[in-house]
Amino acid sequence: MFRKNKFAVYLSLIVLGSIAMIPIFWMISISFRTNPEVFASPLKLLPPTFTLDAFRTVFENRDLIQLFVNSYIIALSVTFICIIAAAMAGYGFSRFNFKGKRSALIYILLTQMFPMVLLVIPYFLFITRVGLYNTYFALILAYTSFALPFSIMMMRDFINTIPKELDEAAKIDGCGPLKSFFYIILPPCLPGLIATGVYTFILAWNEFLFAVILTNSIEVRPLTIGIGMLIGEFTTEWNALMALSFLASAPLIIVFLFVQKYFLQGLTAGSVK
Amino acid sequence: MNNNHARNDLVEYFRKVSFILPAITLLLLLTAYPLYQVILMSFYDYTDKANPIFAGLKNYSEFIVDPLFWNALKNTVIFTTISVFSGLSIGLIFALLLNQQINTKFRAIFRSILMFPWLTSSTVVAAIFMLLFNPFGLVNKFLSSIGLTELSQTAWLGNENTALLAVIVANIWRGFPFMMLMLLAGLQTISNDLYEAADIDGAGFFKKLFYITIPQLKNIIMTLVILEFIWNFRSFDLVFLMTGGGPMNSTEIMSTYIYHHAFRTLDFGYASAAAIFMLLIMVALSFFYLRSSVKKEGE
Repeated sequence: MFRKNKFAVYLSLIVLGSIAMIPIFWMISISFRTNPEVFASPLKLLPPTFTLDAFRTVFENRDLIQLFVNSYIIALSVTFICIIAAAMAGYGFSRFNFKGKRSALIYILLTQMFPMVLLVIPYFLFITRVGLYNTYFALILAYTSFALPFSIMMMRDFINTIPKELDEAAKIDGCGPLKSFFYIILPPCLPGLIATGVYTFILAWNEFLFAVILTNSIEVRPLTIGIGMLIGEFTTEWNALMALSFLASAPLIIVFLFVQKYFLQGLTAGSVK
Repeated sequence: MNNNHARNDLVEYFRKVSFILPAITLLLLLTAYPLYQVILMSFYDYTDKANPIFAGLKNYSEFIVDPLFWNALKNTVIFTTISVFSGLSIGLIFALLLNQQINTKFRAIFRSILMFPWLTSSTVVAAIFMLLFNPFGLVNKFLSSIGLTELSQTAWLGNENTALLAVIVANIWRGFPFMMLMLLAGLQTISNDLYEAADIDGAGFFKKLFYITIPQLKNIIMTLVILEFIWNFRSFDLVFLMTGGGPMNSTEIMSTYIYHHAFRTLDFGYASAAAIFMLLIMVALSFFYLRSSVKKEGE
């Protein structure tokens, strides 16, 4: 649009982008400082003395390592379940017409509007009653139900972009719906599956409210709670908190950098029209 | 014969439904049943926790006259509206910049970096912004360095006039990248011919923005606004972690209000009634989204 002024585009991107990244920059800068230098006056943008103390504090704490492990177990399980269920449901919604389809779809969209606090009360009572309180399984179930609606819609939109002629050709060759799902639909769906996976993983990795309510011990609690607790304790160790935040964000950022091309394709397949 | 036919129909139906069955079963179990329970609970009085008694509309009539409830609703509307529209504007600015004919490597790097806020968890966002808004934090250091000495004394999260604003800023920061990404994808589908034609007519930047870009992005902007409204309206983490609803209820939003009643006062009935009310608002808000999403199906 403003082709004539390429220099202005680069300049605004760099300036605005840098402003937007100040919080990330600050998190990293603080995590490499000693604690007295966190609020150093006058302001120092870079750590006055570069140190790994904060990271050492984090790694020496066995509880924190356990929190990482918990987060991985929970998030990966949710991702696995969600990809399978969402791909199947997306295929069903995209390719078949059946009685009740419209209602099912409306219900799925409706669940996206449920306030989490609405669900957390009965959930808590239910989970306690069936004896799943303070287990991985309680959180895995909960997060699956949050991630599924959007994942299903994303997969449906994605599968809609795959030509129906492919299935029909397979049908003529004698493939049943299950076979054509695995051999015809799934391979070109890879971007959609990755998008679903990334979305689900991020959601499960970052959830907080249900983790607070449904768990109470370090053996199952995810990382978000660990950070939340540090915040709650009127933190004086800002450098350790920032180091932990940095370590908690790094896995998502790395995964995202590797798969973002597919993620974009999958995310936008249906919504941009 | 007829029986056989009916059975075949059933088998055929089951075959079609079987693909959505696992997901639907999970969802019904995990959302429909809890929803049913919340509705039930909202009609009970939980004063005696072990033996709740049926109380009709008592819970509803109670929260509807609670000024703190209306305060929470007001804060939620402010929080949501400012977050959505600021996020959308910032997202659009970055999307427009990234959509220019610039070096593709440069574009890819910037696009990735700008997604970082969206990838960080709300606990991390809360921690970072609490540090930034600390009375001795970066924000105040910056303010005093440009001469605003008085303003730089503000305890942003501890002051009832500024706390909501501070939380909103953190929320916008976390929310804009997703909108940027969606808008950028939308921009890339707009044909260049439109802009070339406009160039010939001598249209300036803003003319093109308001007469070509935004109308062409209408659908995606609508979808985004509705989705973001829903997501922000029900958000909980940032407020809970950064201020817990305080100071003096100045950042209390619907979800923290409900949380406090459910898990601090343990009044499940009252909290459920308020939660149902919140759900109704959201369903009403998203009615149009539902309609357009289902219409695509055109069954």
